[in-house]
Amino acid sequence: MANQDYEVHEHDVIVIGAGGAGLRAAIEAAAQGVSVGLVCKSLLGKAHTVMAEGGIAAALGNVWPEDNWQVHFRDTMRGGKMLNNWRMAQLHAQEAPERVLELERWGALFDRTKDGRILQRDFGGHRYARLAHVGDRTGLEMIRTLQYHGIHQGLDVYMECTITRLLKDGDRVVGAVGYWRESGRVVVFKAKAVILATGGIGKAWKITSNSWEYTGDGHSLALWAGADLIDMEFVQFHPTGMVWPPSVRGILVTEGVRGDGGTLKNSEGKRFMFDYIPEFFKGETADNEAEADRWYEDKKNNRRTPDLLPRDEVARAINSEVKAGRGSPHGGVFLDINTRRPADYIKKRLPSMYHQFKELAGVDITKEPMEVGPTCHYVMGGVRVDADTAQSTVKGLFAAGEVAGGMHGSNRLGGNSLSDLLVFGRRAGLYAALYAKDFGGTLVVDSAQVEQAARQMLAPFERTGGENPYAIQSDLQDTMQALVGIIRNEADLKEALKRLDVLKARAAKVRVDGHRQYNPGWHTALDLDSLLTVAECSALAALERKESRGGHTREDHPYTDDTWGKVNVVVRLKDGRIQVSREPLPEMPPDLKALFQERK
Amino acid sequence: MVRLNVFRWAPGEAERIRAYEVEAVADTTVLDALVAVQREQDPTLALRYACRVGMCGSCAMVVNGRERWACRTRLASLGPGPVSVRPLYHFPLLRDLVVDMTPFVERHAAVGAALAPAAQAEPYVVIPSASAERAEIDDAIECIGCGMCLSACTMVAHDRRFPGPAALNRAFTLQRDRRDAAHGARWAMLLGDDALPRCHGQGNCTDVCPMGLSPTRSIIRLRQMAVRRMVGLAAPQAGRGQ
Repeated sequence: MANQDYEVHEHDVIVIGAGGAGLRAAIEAAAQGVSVGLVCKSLLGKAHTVMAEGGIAAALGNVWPEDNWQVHFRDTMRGGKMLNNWRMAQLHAQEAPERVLELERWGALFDRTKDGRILQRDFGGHRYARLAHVGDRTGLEMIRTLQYHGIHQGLDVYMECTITRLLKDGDRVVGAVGYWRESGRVVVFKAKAVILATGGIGKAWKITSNSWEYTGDGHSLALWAGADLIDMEFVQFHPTGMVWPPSVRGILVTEGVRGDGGTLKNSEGKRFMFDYIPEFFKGETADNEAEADRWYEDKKNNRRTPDLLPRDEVARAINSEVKAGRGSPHGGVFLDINTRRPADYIKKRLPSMYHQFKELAGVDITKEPMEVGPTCHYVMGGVRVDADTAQSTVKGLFAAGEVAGGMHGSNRLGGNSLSDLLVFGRRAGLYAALYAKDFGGTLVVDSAQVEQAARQMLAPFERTGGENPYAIQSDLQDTMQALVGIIRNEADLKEALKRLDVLKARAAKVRVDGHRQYNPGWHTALDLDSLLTVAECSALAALERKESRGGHTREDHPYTDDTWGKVNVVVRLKDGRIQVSREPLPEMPPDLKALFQERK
Repeated sequence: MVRLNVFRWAPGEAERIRAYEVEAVADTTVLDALVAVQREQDPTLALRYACRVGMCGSCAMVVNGRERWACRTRLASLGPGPVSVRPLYHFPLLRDLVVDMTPFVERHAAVGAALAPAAQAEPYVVIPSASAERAEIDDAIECIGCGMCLSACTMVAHDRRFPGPAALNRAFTLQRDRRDAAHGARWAMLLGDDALPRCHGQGNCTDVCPMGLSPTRSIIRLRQMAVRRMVGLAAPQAGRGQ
C-alpha cells in the first residue's frame, strides 16, 4: 500500500454533501472567489433535500403581515423547548426571507398568493402561515435551482464519492480522504477548509423517512477529528410516516396534509389530539372541535387545531393511542383530509402524497383516510458550531444543515430545516472561504493518515471469516428502534449500549465479497463505522439527560426539568472513547428574552 | 416466489443474465425485490436508489423491456412470468444496473439549463399563478432527472449532439420564463441541426416519463415559439387548449 499513488485534488474549500446546505455553501464560497470542490456520495440532485415536501419557513409576511422575524424566532425557540442556541435561531429567523427571495432570483418558482406574492402555508408550531412552497415538492425545486446555479458558476463536483476520514495537520483540518463508489479507488482532497453538509443519522433506526445516505457520516467525521457534538439525544420522530405496506414503512407523509386541513383520528373515529394538549401550548391551541374547525376558515378569531402541535407532541400522542389499543389495522392512526377537502384541492395541493398512496398503498386519499405512524425523521443534535461562522470546535472544520447542532434545540419545527440549510449553508460557505483566504503556512497532508484510512477501507476484503454487512446493519437498526426510540428508559438505554458494543465487535470482522467496483456490500460495510458511532453518541446522550424534553422522552424521568434546560449534553472523543459531559447553554440577551414575556 | 432475470456485468467480465428467486407479496416492488437479492443472496449486485418513494429519480431501469422506476413498480403490476431487469439504454455501463449519468448532465449543460437572470431585471419578477406562462412552466417543471426519457429516445442513440427530451424540456421552461436573459443564445443552439429538428415526435419519452411530463409537447411548443419569433409575432400564446 505504502507506495500507491493516490488521486489527489486540491481546493481552498471542499464541501462534503450536496443537499441544500452543501450546495448553498459551495455557491457562497465560490462567490467569494476561492476554489471549491463539492463532494457527494450520491449523484448530484439526489440528496435527501430532494424529498423535502412542505416548504421553507421564512417570515415573509405575505399571508400574515403581522409575521416578522421576532415571531419566527419565538416559535422556533418554543418549538425547541428553549434549548436552541439563541443566536442561531435569531440569525435563522432574520435571514430566511432573503434566502427564499434569492432562490426566486436564481430561477425557483414558488406557489403564489392571489396578488402574485409567494404563498405561505400553515405548519405545526408556526404561529402564522409561513412556509414558502411549491406544491408538496419544495425540496425538488430548491435543489434543482441550487444545482443549476452552482454548476453554472463552475463548481467542481465529485459525485458518488464517499469520504471516510478527515485529514489533520496539527490541530487543524486540511482535507479529507475517501473512495470513488464507481471504481473503489482511494481519493484524497487537500483543502484549507472543509465544510460538512452531510445531513442526518436516520439509517441507524429501522423505521425511518431517511434515504440510504443518512448514515451519520458527517457527525462521525467531526467526532473522529476531535470536534464536539451536542444534543445527540434529540432525535425527531415525525408523527406521520406511512405504516403500510411494509416496504414503504416510514416513508414521510408531509405535515402539509395537516396544514391543509387533515385531521388525526383513532380507530373509534375520535380526534384524539384534543386529549394531548400540553400546558405549554394551551393558550394558543383550540380545545374543542368546533373552534378547531372554525380555525381553518377564520384564523384570526380562533385558536389553531391541536393536529398542528409541534412534532414531538403529536408523535407521542399517536404512540399512546396505538399502545392503548386504539390504532389502525396496521399499527398507526388515521389521517383524514378527504372529509374536509374536495378531491381537486387535494390533488393540487398534495400531488405527491396523492400518487404515493395511490401507487404504493392502493389508497385514494381523496376518498379514504391514510394510515400513519411515527417515523425517525431528523436529528436535532450535531456538530457544535459557532452560530455566526458555522465553524466547529476544530479549526478549518465547518458544518451546516442537519449535521450541525444547536439551531433546533430539542425539537425542530417543520419548515425550519430548509431555511436552516440556506441560512447556515451560506454562512458556512462565506466563513470557510474567509478562513481559507487567511490560511497561514503551507497545506500539508500527512501520508500516514491517508494510508491508515486506505487500510481501514480495504480491510473488509482481506478477511476470511466474518459476516455479511447487511446482517449487522439490520441488527443495529432493530436495536435502536427497540431501545432508543420515542420513549426511553435507563434500563433500555444501558441494554442498547451493551448491544452496540457487541455490534462493534462484529463490525470489526465484517467481510466483503467481490471487487472494489461499485460494490454495494462493501459500501454498506464502510457505512457501519459511522452508523455505529452516531448510534452510540445518541444512546449515551439519551442516558445522560434525565428529563423529558422535545425529541427525548424518558418514561423514568417524565417531566421537563429546568436545571436540564440550562445545559447541552456534549459528546467528544477522549483517548479513543466517547465521553459525555454537560455544558451550559449560551445565555440569551435581555432584549430577546423580553420577546417571551410580552405575550403568551 | 417471483423469478428475476437480472443483467449482470462488470468491467473485464462477460455480460450475463442471472436468475434469482425472491419472496413477493402483493405490494412488493421491483426495488424491494432487488434489495432483497442484495441483502440475502448477492451483496455485490450493483444498483442505485435513494429515496425509495419516487422523488429522487435514482432507480430508473428497464423492466420487462420498458423504462420504469423500480421503487414505484409493483411486481404484481407486471403480470405473470419472470421479470427481466436491465440497465437504462444509451448510457455507458458502470456495473450491473448502474450506468454513467454523465450524458444526462452534459446534455443539460449544452442547453444552458440554469436560469440566467437579466442583469438589470427587477430584483423579484412576479409570474402570476393564473398566467398561461406559469401554467405551461408548471406542467413541464417536475423533472426528477431519472434519465428514462433518454433511454427511451431513439434519436439520442442516433445523434450524440442531440440534447434529448429532458434537456429540451428544461430549455422550454426557461425559454418560456420571462425572468431568463439567455433566450437568444439558447435559440441559436435550439435551432441548430442537432437540436429541435432532430426530434421525430415518436413520443417515447412522454410514454415513459414517470412524472407524467411531456417532453414531446415541450419540443412542439419550442418549435411554435421559434416560428412565431422568426415571423415577428411577439409573445407566445398559451399552448394548452389550442
